[in-house]
Amino acid sequence: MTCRCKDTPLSNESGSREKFIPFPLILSKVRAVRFIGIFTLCCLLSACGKKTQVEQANEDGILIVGNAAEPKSLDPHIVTGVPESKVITSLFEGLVADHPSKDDEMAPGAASSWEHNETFTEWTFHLNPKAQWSDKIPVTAHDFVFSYHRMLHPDIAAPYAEMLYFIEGAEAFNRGGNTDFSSVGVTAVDDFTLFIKLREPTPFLPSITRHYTWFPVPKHVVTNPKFFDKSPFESFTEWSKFGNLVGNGPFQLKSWVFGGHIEVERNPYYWDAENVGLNGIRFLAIGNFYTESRAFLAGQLHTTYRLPADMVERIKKKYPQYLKEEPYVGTVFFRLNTTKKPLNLQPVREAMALAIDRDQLCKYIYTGYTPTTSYVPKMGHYLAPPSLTFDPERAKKLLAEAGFPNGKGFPRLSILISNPDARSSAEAMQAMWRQNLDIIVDIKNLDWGSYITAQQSLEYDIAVAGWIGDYLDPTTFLGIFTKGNGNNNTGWSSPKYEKLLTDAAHKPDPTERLKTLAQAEQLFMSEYPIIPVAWYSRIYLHRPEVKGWFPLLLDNHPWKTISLESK
Amino acid sequence: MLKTILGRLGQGILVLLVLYSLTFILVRTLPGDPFMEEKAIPEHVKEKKKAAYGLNDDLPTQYLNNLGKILKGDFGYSTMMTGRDVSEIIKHSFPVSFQLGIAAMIIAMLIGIPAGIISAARKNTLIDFSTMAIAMIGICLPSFVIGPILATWIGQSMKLLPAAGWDGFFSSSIILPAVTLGLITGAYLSRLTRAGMLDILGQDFIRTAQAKGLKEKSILFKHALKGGMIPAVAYLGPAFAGTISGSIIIEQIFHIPGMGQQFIKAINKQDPFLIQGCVLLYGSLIVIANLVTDIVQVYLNPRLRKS
Repeated sequence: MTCRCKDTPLSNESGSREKFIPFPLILSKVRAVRFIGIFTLCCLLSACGKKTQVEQANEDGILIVGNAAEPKSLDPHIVTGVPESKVITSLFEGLVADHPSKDDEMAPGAASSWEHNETFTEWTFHLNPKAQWSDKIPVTAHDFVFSYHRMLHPDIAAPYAEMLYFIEGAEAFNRGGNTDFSSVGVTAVDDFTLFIKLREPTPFLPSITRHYTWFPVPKHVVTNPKFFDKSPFESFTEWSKFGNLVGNGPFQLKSWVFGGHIEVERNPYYWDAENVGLNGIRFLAIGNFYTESRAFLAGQLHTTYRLPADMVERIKKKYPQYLKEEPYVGTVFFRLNTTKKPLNLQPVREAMALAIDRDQLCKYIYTGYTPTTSYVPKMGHYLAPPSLTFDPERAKKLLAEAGFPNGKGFPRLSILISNPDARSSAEAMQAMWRQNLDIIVDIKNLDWGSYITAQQSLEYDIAVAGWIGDYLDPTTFLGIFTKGNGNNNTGWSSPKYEKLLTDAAHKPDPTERLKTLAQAEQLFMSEYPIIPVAWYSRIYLHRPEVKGWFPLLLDNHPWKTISLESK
Repeated sequence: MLKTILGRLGQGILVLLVLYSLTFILVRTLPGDPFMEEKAIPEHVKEKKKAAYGLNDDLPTQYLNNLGKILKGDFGYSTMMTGRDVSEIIKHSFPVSFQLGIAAMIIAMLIGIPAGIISAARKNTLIDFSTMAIAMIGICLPSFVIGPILATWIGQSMKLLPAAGWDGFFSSSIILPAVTLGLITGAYLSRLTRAGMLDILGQDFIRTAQAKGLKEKSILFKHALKGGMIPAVAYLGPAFAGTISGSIIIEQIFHIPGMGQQFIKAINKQDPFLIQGCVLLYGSLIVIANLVTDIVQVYLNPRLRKS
């Protein structure tokens, strides 16, 4: 029964196989070629003459911004991240606004003027009577008092409540030690006058009020019972969701595609609406920076959040007109566990710091960053004290004096990383320490949770880390290395250092204050609980038709002064 | 048949319970907590947050409370997206992944099945070799290679289609991600279709049909295709579930606001409730897809009805 006809089209014998070419398939081949041809033609035709998204947006006055991530929320009291702050600063306005081009200058925001006493401990803000919420209700001092009450209320568990600890009695109220908010130094003198009493002289208070933690929330909306279950001070409220949110900023929420984009449009009730340069802003939550750069080059974005380091050289060659490299208030450093041998020895830490060639690191790895040997970045009138340089000879000598001549007997330490980007810098450090000190270190890559836990529990040797300032004052950097601070994680503390910080806090003269802070940094750096490597730069792609966008240390560009030039 | 389906559904519920338990244990044993930020949150604030989410209770209480809530359809609030409940996140992101999955499967079937049939019909010819070589390349090339190449070439350089973004199912923004996602599935599908078709085409009933003088078209599509598709169909169900749950990389490459992105973020941020929600949804999807596949297979292969 294995008879097989010679003419069988499906026979396995080669002679008959070729005969089986079903007609429909031949036809489909022709059809397929035709189909592909027509499809390609259609695509080409549809692309020809079609405007890119950016060209269309230029005509519509819409700025398209790469914003890295989906905001966790738009409630200024429960968020902590930069992507959230970008959207929030378009929807809300603090007492003082950012200046479009100068870091140290303040522009009027919800307050049109302000004054302070001689010691910078009492501040009075005069609110702009024309300021309104986007539902046409006036913005009053009571909104600010309510906002600070809500932010500091223990029940809401605001992660950034510390930003308000400058106010007298704020910390005790937030920690639950005092339940009477009237004891906190913030009062509405009348509808348009806000009085703030501080716990210590703070000449830079206006600068701090530009941070979103100091922004007002609409009392009449947040306290609306339909937006909460038990109390407006609880964590889970509905007022900041799309459709409910009311703000006092130059823009209002237009649409929110979860995980995709948030679009804001002009707020017609904003007090300075006629000077708002854009019709709207679209914030894209693109987390992958390669995707973001591709989208930019495809004409889908005006400005990106970040350009991946390995793309910088290519962009410099091919699209130099789009590249922006601007200083940013942040420092990259290596955190050392000073409780662990031999890192508990100051000379060892100093030797490791001296053995690093920061110029090379910034040339090849932290491209565009500024090499640094001090911790606090340049800001305002603060002068970072002179610090160490690259000195491998002295480093070797110090290591020998500490009992490890030519690295002999030095234990094998490890550098902790959690981000693949940090690997190259860790590898560079590995090579430099091996070359200059004859010591071998390993690299330990952990997931984010383990990386943080290891540092908090001091179960690490060296960690690649960084710190971004919240406001333009050295205390935003120096304050974290006090005893018990959740961000210290080095095991290092010094009563002398903390006394200097306290002394500075009580000095009403701003110059003297900064001098004392510089002394504190000098003391800190002489102990080397961290090894600073570079000051951050913000490296991103930006289209030239965006006007009114200038380099700013905090990268908080006031959206209302930006405009688009339509060609 | 109904009894079998009900039995399989029962097994599915058991699988989901095991999934819930495993996820609960694994997430709770991870180092760290859901409230880790780059800038550390003060301890007193963290304690309040834990209390608000019920994470201060002992583990058995948490296990039972969560399970009770899930049975009522309440997946809890996300710790990563403060104030958003998990159902809301899934409601927004899952349909996007689902639509992308459907588009990818359509492309996979449009490419894979005809390619497999042609290859089988022209076994050991140049067409067969080249089709299968392309399929092999498709299988070997991961989507994180194809995706950026397509986005750079077609999106960035030629500006024919958007390099990133999502404007819905009936928009040009779906083409590149769906093609990227569908290519690999299509490549597998073509090989499976070819194997299935070759198996059938070598059987006696086909030879009988040929001996009876039936037209080739009729033999191929009327007699051989139904049986030849069985391996491909067996693959299609799990592949569909896999395409939806496996679109994580594509979502990142093309900035698609789907559930894969949320799932990855939830794992990175140790969001216990969102992880749980995503795992249970993906689990249910795979259970349902397998069940549907079994039913279709029984329809296609009468011999399975007896077993």
